[in-house]
Amino acid sequence: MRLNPGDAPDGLERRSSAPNIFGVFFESIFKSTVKEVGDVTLFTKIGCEKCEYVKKTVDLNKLGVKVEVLGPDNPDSLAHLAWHELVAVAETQLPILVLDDSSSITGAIRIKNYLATFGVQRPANG
Amino acid sequence: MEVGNSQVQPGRGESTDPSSPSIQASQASPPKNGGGEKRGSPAFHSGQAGKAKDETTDMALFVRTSAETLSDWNRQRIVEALQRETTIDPDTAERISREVEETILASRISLVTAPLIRELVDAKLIEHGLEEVRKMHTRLGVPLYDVDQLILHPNRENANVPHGPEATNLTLAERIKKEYALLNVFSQEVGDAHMRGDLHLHDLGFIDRPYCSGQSLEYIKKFGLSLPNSLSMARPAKHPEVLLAHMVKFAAALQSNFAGAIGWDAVNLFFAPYLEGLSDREVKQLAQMLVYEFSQQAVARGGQAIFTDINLYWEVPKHFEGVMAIGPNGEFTGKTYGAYLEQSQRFVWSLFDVFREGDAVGRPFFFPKPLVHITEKFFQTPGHMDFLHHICDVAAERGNTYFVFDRGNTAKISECCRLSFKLEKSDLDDAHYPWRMRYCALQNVTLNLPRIAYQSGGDDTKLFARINEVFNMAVRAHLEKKAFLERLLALGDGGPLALLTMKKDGQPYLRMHRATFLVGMVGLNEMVQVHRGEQLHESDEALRFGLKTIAYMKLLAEKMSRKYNMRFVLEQTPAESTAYRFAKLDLRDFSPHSGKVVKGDIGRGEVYYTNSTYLNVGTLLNPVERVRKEGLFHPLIEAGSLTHIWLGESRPSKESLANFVIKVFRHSQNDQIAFSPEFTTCTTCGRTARGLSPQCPYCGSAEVEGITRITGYFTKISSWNKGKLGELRDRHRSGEYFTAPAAGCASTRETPLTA
Repeated sequence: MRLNPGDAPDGLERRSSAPNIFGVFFESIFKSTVKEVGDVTLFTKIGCEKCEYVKKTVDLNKLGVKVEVLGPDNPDSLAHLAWHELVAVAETQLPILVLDDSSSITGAIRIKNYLATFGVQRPANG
Repeated sequence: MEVGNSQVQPGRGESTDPSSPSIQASQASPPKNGGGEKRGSPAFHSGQAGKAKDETTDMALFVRTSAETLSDWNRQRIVEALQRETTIDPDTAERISREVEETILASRISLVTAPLIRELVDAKLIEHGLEEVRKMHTRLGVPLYDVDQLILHPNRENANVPHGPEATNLTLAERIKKEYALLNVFSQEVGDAHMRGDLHLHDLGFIDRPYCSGQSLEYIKKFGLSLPNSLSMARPAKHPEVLLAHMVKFAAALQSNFAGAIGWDAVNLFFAPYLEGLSDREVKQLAQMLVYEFSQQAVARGGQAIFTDINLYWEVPKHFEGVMAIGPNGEFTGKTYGAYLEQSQRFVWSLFDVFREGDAVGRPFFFPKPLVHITEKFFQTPGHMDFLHHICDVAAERGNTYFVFDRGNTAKISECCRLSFKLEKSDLDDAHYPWRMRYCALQNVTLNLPRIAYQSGGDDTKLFARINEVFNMAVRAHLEKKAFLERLLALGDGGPLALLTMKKDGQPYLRMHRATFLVGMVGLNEMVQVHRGEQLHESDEALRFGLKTIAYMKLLAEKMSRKYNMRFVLEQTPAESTAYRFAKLDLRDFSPHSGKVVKGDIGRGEVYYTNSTYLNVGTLLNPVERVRKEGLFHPLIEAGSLTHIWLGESRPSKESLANFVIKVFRHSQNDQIAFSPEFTTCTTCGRTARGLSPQCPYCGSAEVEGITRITGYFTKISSWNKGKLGELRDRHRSGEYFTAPAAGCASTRETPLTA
C-alpha cells in the first residue's frame, strides 16, 4: 500500500504521538512532508561503506524502511534476497533497496535520492 | 579351553592367559605345520605319509586358498594372518587358531576354503569380544548368490552401465570397494550415517578416486598425450583428427581416475586453430567423429560410456578473447582466440548438425552432452539468433541441448548432470594459460532432508539444528575422503593416482587447492511438506521456507569453507539412485509419516523423493512458473542446478523454444534448462518414433525400447531403477505449452517470468 503525500504510516503516527508541544509541532511538520515508502527493504551487510552511507544520510526508521543485514548467521535475509532474485546482484552491489512492487534499486546515491523524494533526510553530518 | 573376554587384550602383544598349557606348548615348540600337540587337537600333516590316526580326512587337509591353489592345512597361517592384519597379541592369536582348528575337526567338513576359515576366525574373535580385531580381519567379498545374480541380471544403480561381463567386473569391484570405504576410509559414525540413510556418500565404489573433473583441451594440445604408465608417448597433435584421438584417449584415462563426469571447456573454440583451411565438409566430418567417438565409447570402464560434457560457445568468451591460441604441434599460432571466431562457429554449428541428425537409426546421442553457454556476449555476437534457432531445433527434435546461463560476468565450466565450476578471479587469470584450467570435485555427499523433518516434529529449532548436525557429518565425510586421497596422491608416480600427480605445467594435474567438496540435498519438497504441511508449489510460504532451508545450508557451507580452508559448495545432486534409496529407507524407518509424502507408487515399490530443490514433478505447472520458481534456488547453489522441461511426445517449434530461452535468461535466475522429449526405438524395424509407446508405431512390434532423460542425461528406460520409473510415470509433460497457438512464444510475452 502506498499512501498519499501528507499521510503518515501507522507506525510513524504511533511513534510521534508524544503529548508535548514539541511533539505536536514535529508531528505536524512531519505529516506535511513525509510520504510512506511502502513495504521496502534495504539489504546491507556489515563492513559495507555504501550501506553505512545510506544509513547515515537517510532516516530509514522514520520512513519505515526495513533493514536486513546479510551475514553468516542470517539465513532469513539470504532467503529473502533469493525470493527477490537478487542473490547474484548482492554479490557485487550492496546496498540494495527492494520496493514493494519487487523492483529494486542499487547504488548508494540512487537509493538515497529515491528515498529523499519521501521527505526524510538526515543532515549531512548524520 | 576357556578364554574370557576380560582376559584378551588385543594390541598389547601379550596374553593374559599364561596358564593355558596349549599355548605354552606351542610357544615352546611351534609345530612345523602348525599342528598343536594338545589333547583333542591333532596335528594336520596333509599329504604326508604316516599321518596320525586321528587326523582329519584327506579332503579336509587341503584348503582352497584365495590364490587359486590347494594348500596343506597349516594352523600357523591363521596366526600369521591375525598378526599381520590386526593388533592382536601372539598368544591370543594362537588360541584363536587352535579353537578354529578344533571346530573344523569336529565338523568333519569335507571342503575347507580360505573364506570359510576366515569366517570361523572372525566368529571366534566375536566370541572373545574382539570386535575391533574382527573388523580389521574382515574379508571383503560378495556372496555366491549375489555374483550369480549380477552375472545374469543387469545392475540398475546407474543407468549408464550396460549389462555385460565388463559391467559385472565393475559392479563386483565396486561392491568390494564400497565395503572397503565404509570400513577403512570413513569413520564408523560417517559409515553408519550413510547406512542409516541420514546422508548418502556418492560413488563409494570409486573410493580411491576423486568425483569428477573439468578441464581444457589446451593441456593435451600443449603437452601431447604422454601419460604416466602409457606404453607410448605422443607429441602434441598436428592434425585435428589426431587432436580428437588424443582427447578421446585422455578422456578414457581420466575416466579411470575419476568416478564421474569428464567435462571439457570451450571445445569448439579450442579446436578452432586446427580448422583453418578445412572445407565445411571436413569440419562436419570432424564434428561427426567427435560425437560418435564419445557416444560409442561404451567399451572402456565396465562397458560404461564416458560421461562426457562439452562446453560450447557461439561467441569467443571474454576471458579467452585475448589469450594466445595454441595450434598444430602445440605451438602458439601468433593470433589470439578472438581471431578464431569464425572457425569456432563453424565447428559448433556442425556439431549441432550432427546432434540434429541423431544416430544411424534416428536416436538421440546420449553422449557427449552439449552445453551451450548463453551470455550477454552471446546476444552481441552476429548470427546469434540463427544459432539459437539451430540449437533449439536440436532441443525440440532430439533434446540434446543444455542451455547454461552465465549472467553478468559469471563464467563457468559445466559438466556431470548439472555440476558447474564457477570461475573466480584467479581462474580468469589462469585463462591466459588455459592449460592450467582444470577443476575437480573431490566427493559428493547428499543430505536426506525429509528424514530431518520427520525427526524434528514440526519444530523449526530442531529442524535447523538437525540440518546442522547432518551437514557437519557430511563435512566430516569430506575430510576423511580427502585425507584418504591425499595418502594415495602422496605415493606419486608409483601410486594408483599417478595420472593426477603428473606435473607437466609445474603443478599436479589435480590441483587440490582448486578442488570443491559438494554437499547435495534430496527431497526439499517433501521436507517442507512434512514440516509445514504444504509442498513447495502450494504456497509462497512453503517456497520461502524452502529458500530459507537452502540459504541456511549455503551459509553453513561458507562457514565450513572458512573453518577448514576448503571449498564446500551446494550442488543439486543428480540423485539418480539416492532419491529412491532415501525414500525406501524412510518408508521402512519413518512410517506412517513417510508413506504420506513419499512420491511414486508404494504398491509397485516405485518410490522416490523429489530431487534436490525441485518442485513436485507431477504438478501441473506451466514451464514458465516452474523455471522461475525453481530458479529462485539456483543462485544459492553454487555448484550447479538445472530445471527440466519434460516435452513428452510434443515437438515444439524452434522459435517457440528460442523465445522461451531468451526470457529465461533475461527474466529469471535459473542456471540451466534442458528440454526432454521421449522416444520409442524399435529393435525389430530399427526406426525411432516420438513419444513412449509399448509398440512400434511403424511395424507394430513389441520389441521396443523407451528413451528419455533420466536425470541429466539420456538413456534407455529399461536400465532405470524403480524410483526413476515411478518418477517417469508422474512427470508432467508440458510440451503442449509450447505448441498451443496461444501459448509458447506468444504466452511467454503475456506471462512474464518476473514475479
